[in-house]
Amino acid sequence: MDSVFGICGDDWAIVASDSVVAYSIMKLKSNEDKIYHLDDTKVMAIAGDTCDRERFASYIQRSLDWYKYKNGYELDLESTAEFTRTELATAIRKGPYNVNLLIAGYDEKAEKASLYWLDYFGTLQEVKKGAHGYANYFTSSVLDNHYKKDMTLDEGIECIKDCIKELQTRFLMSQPGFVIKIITKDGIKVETVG
Amino acid sequence: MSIMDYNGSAMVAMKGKNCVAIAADTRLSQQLCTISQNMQKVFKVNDRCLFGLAGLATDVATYSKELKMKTNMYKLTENRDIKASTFTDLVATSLYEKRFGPYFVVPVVAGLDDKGDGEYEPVIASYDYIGCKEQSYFACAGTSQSFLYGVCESFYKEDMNPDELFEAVSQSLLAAMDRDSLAGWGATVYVLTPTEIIVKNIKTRQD
Repeated sequence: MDSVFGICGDDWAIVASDSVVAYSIMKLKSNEDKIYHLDDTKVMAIAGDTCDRERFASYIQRSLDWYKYKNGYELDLESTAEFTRTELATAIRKGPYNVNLLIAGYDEKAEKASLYWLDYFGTLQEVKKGAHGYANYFTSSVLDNHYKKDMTLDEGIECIKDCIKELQTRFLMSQPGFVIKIITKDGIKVETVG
Repeated sequence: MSIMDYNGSAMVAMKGKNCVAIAADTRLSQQLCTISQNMQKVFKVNDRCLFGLAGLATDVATYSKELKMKTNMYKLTENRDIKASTFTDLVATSLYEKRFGPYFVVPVVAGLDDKGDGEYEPVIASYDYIGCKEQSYFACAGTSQSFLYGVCESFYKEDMNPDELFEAVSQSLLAAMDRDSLAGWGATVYVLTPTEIIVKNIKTRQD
């Protein structure tokens, strides 16, 4: 039921997620941040069961920190996505994490931003725009419509806001609040809507 | 929907004279919803061998890496590149290792065996997901498999040169992809000759 979607330009990436924690027919919380910071230039937006989301995010964050302390430098964005994929792919046949994610970040060395789409099987694909869950059905066309080569950051933010508007209009589940995270070479900026 | 149809794919390989070709679509989907139009499904083993994996995308990624690890180990222990025909056996045995918890992938191998004196034996193999190898003059895999068999049989002729082979493989793939709703959104064709690997991206119907 979680909505997670994102779009990526040449040197910026934006991911957004809703902030509702649902429990049966009740909203337990409506200001949850489902986009976890992996480090200063990477985020992971997770859709799925709350417990798995928390556990998996925490596990990946700790694993990346351990890598940093062990080796003296941070893992780069592509390798982070591949590592996360491997963890999901090993888990699916042992004890699956029921989480679908988008990993977005800015790679300082390559000087470009990337967005990765992962699902709970361990499917990984680098994409320019993507969404998970029911949001995929609503926002895919909005993202496709807005996206063009050499898009600017402002156009990207406009696109994400249009996706949110679309979900709030047409999606059956009421999701009053969304968290938007914008990643550029200057770091991560957080915005909330609603 | 079956687990083999979850991510959608079309894959075909054909023999020519001293050359082989392998082609795959580039669609990644979640059942009927397209996620990406540039998923890589064909991987290189060495200059004489390519393999493609159709089936569940996560297992395509995991299994292609497992094969890469095994062929790297082979190269380190034997100090030479693995032959295409040996690689076909490696694929069969490694899939059967997981007989009771398989990778949901259907591989297609295309390669050239060096027979010496400038002669090369083309090798084409296809499998089921537990490693039953079938070697023939063409191989089909993926959600479009049944569409591909018919059109491949018609387009195939013996001893094609690289250009004719490219045409035969592309047209077969296009015809089958256009019929299959789960495959499409672009295709990549690899023609393997003794001197080079020619890679061409075909612009197809974007649906």
